[in-house]
Order: sequence, then C-alpha cells, then structure tokens
Amino acid sequence: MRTFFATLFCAGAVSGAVFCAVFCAGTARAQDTNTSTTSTSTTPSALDKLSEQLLTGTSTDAGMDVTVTGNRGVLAPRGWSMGRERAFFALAVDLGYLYLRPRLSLGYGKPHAQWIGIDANPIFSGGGIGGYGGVRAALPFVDVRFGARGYYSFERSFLDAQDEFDRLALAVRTDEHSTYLTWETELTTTIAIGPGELSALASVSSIQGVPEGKYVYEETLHIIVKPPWVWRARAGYSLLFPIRGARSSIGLVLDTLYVPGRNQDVWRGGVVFRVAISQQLEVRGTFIATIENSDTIGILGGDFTELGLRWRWATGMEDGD
Amino acid sequence: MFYSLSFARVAIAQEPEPPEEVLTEDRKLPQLVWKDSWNRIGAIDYVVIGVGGGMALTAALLQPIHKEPSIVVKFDESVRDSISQGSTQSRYRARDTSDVTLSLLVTWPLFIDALVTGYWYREAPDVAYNMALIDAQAIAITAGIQGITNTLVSRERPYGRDCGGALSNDLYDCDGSKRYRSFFSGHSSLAFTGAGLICTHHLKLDLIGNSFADAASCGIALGAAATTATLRVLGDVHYATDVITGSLFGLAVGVLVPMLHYSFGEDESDPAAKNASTFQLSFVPFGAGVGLVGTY
Repeated sequence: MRTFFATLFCAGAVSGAVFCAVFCAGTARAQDTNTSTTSTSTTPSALDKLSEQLLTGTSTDAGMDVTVTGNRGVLAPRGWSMGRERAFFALAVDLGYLYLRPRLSLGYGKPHAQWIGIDANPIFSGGGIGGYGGVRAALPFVDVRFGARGYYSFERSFLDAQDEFDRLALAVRTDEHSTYLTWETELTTTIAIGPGELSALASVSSIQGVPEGKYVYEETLHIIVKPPWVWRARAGYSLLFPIRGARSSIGLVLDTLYVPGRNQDVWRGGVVFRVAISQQLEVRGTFIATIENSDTIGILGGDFTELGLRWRWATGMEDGD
Repeated sequence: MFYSLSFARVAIAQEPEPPEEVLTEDRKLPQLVWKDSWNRIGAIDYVVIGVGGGMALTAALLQPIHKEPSIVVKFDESVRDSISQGSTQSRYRARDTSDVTLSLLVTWPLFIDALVTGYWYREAPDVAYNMALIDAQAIAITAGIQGITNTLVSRERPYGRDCGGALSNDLYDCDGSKRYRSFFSGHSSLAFTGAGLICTHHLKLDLIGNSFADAASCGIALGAAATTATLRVLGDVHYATDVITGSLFGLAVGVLVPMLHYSFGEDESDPAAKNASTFQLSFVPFGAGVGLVGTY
C-alpha cells in the first residue's frame, strides 16, 4: 500500500506540476513581479520562446545539492535574470561544515538564471570525495538536468544484503570503501501561488559499480540502495520575504524516495530557507528529518545540510550582466 | 553539573543618545560601526588563520604518536559507568546528533551573525567583515591546537576498550587513527568556541538591537554547546575530562579572541569609552562546581 501511494505521489507530483505549469504559464509570467522586466532586447530570445512553450518551473541546484529547490525567477538574487544572453563561464561555490562544492558551468544564456549548457563540480566533504558532470537546461520555469556523479567514501563500505539496516551496519568496515557511480535525471518546477511558491521535483537515479549482491548507502540521497534504481519526488511551499531587495524565503518540504530493489519507500519532511544577501552571496539552510523509514539509521537517513553559503560568479558580470 | 552560567547586569553605562543623522532611514537601530579604538583585522590575523588551519589539517593527516590503552582516571570511569549505559545504536545516534549541533555552532557566527545580521540586517559591511575574520581566526586557533594536542596525547577513546569484545574490530571506529584522538574533545572545543563568539558579538555589539534577543542568542548557543559536549560522552567517544577540557578551552578562545579586537583596544582618553558598558567574564565558585559570571 505504501509503495502504491509512493508511486502515485511521484507520478502525481510531476504530472500535477506539468499540468498547472502549462495552464498557468502566461499568468505566472505576468505575476512574476520579482523578475526584472528590463532587457536590452525587445525581441523575445530563443530561450524565451522555448520557455513559453514549456512549463512554469524552477531552477535547482541539484547538480550540487539534490535537496534544494528554488525558483530562479523569484528566489534568485536580483540581477542574474537581467542582462543579455551570451556564451559564458560561471562558478558557484557551496561552503559549509564540513563540505566544499565548487560548480563550474559552461553554456549559453543568462548564467544562474536561464541557460543551456554543461555542469561539472567536484565534491569535498568530511565523509568522502566525488564529482558530478552533466548537461542542463535551466529555463524560466523548469529545470532539467542529466548527468553522472561518482563518489568515494572514506568511512563506508558496501553492505551485505538484508531486509533492514540499523545505524551500526553503516559503521562496519570491509575490504573496500564504497565507490559508485550514480546516473541521474531530474526535473524541477515552481509555480507562484499567493505569497509564495509551490515547488516540485522528480528524479530517477541508477547506481552503478556496486558488486553483485551488495547494497550501498548513497551519500547524496541518504538512502540504502539495492542497485540500480532509486526514484525520488519532492513537493514544497515557500513563503517569500522580499525584505529590502533581498529575496529571502522559508518553506516546508516533503520528500519521498522509493527503492524498487528493496521494495522500500522513505518519507522525509522539514524546513528550507534562503537569505539572498547580494546578487552573488546567499545563506541557505536545509533541515529535513526522516518521517518513515524501515531502516533505523537515524540522522543519516535525513538531510541535514545545515547552514551553508553559496557564492556565484559569471563572465560578463563586469559588463553589468 | 560540569558548569553553570549566570549573567548579571551589575552596572549599565548609558550610551549617549546618538545624533539623529546616524539613525537609518527605515528603523531606529543605531548604526553599527567599527570603532577606531578597536583592533581591526590585519596581516597578522591572516597569518594566524593560515597557521591554525594548517595545523588542523596536518594533525588530521598525521597518525597518533602511540596507540596504547590510556591511563585510567577514576573520575572518568565513574562518569562513564553512570551515564554511558545506552545501546550501541543509541550511542551512534548521540554522535550523529552532536555532528549536527556542532555544524550549526561553527557556521552560525560566520553565516548568520556576520553575514545575515551584520552585513545585511544592520547594513554594516565593515563590521561584518571584521566579525567574519575574527570568527575564522578563533575557529582556526581552536582547531589547530586541538588537533595537535590529540595527535600528541593519543588518548584512546572510551569505546576503544570494547573493540574486539562488545564491539567488532571490523568497525571503522575501531580500526583507524580516530580511536586514539580522545583528548581533548574537538566537538566540545569548537562548539564552545562558536558559542563564545556568538555571545561576545551579540553582547558587545548589541547585534540584533534588542537586549533580550541578544542575551537569548547567547544563552541558546551556550546551551547547544553544552548539549554537544554531553552527547559526546553519551556517545562514548570521549571521557568527561576530554569534554570539560575542550569546553573550557573552546570558550576561552571564543571569548578572548574577539575581546582582543574589541575592548582591549579601547581608547582610555575617549569619554564615550569610559562611560560605555564593559563586558567582563570571571569564574566563581558555584555550589559543587564552578560558575561563569558575565557582567555588562
């Protein structure tokens, strides 16, 4: 029964978001007063035309942080959606305790707002090291990405198959550290509703490189997987606080993940917030706890990326873009 | 009770009413400025940050100098016997929770106090810049000294004696250098450094602009730090003396480093400085333990 509802939720989240986005596309763009209306061009760009044909949606930072959603059109620091479209190189750095994730992007469009191109980022944390690379299309109301993420864990090994795991199981050391590759496709969207916005995310991941018969703790998704598949969906609502020009928000989110190989579904819920201090600097917090999980792995089954700092830069900024 | 804290407002020196022109347009908070009499962040401070960070990184890469069972301390044994009675599952839960509280206490002074409150809310980029680097300096000092100490002392953690018995030797915790890094507690020292920074910035600068809110921030931070230290004992990763030493050391760094920049540079000839409220900390006997009293 839980599997049925989990699958239904995943399908419903994506379908509902797509339907509402198409239905509300024109109204949402008119109501999006936080997006700059200035433009150096009066002719709709290729990206603008494409976005009108697609969905209202949101950009995410999921290439670096799968748990984050945000509407670039509303939550993005002012300025990134302004300016001209161009070929660019961009950098976004996430810093917290204890992790560092610089992301490099190469593409065409408005960096950190509406663009198409490629992403790559190394991952450094106290628990391991890794890297991500992929392609991305960040449109005004929808963000789609596809890529692969490799990870080497300092203090986790592959797990012997069993029905349920406790916290101690993750501390057992075997001959090899857990090392794996996660192929991932993700779609996110956002709809402005009332004083805030409704966001939705759906992803599917395929984990490779795990020995036959073994399970693995996926460090980004925070779930024990029998490879290869993991499905994920998230829905949330954030209140916006455009205080003194900064686009700040606080919201509630609900996550569900499903591992077909284990017939296991996981539910999480919590709070996310953003304080955009300037165009380039943002303080973010994510506190998502486990609501239901057959594995009793405690906090490791949730998503506590805690407090972090994001700094962004792109070529062409000095030209006022 | 390891420690207790009470704050008493012994003397309140009234700040002279600021002239109207320094008040911000849309609110009544006085402008937050870095006083000329305070010590700004300078080249030596950058060197200290670099050296502290380098020491911490080096200590993390080095192996403990010896790996033998540690000397038994009666006080530690009695504390461990009385409170560390949970299951292995609950001990790991305590450790994981302490990781979360630690990360909040280390990042809060930098990201929230300096950036969000100082830079954005109070519109004081100069003060925020100095605050952020003071925070980085204090954290680097604590991390560096704690890291080198635990490498040199190489005290075995309390769970280490259970490895090969109640705990499997196949655990990462039993096989690795982290088993011999008990003294002194890094979590406790860094947590109390963060709490000390939060207290000092809030009480010295009136950071939020509301005395109750600023005092509450300090109280909550100290409570979170004490919780972190306690969880490390409950998680059986430290002895009581490890967390007491770490807590005292961390708090001292978290208070003294910012105060070296704030009040120790006060200009005695400045009438405003003479009349300004001062912030002092002192240790006093308190029942069966020791208390920390702050006056401002």
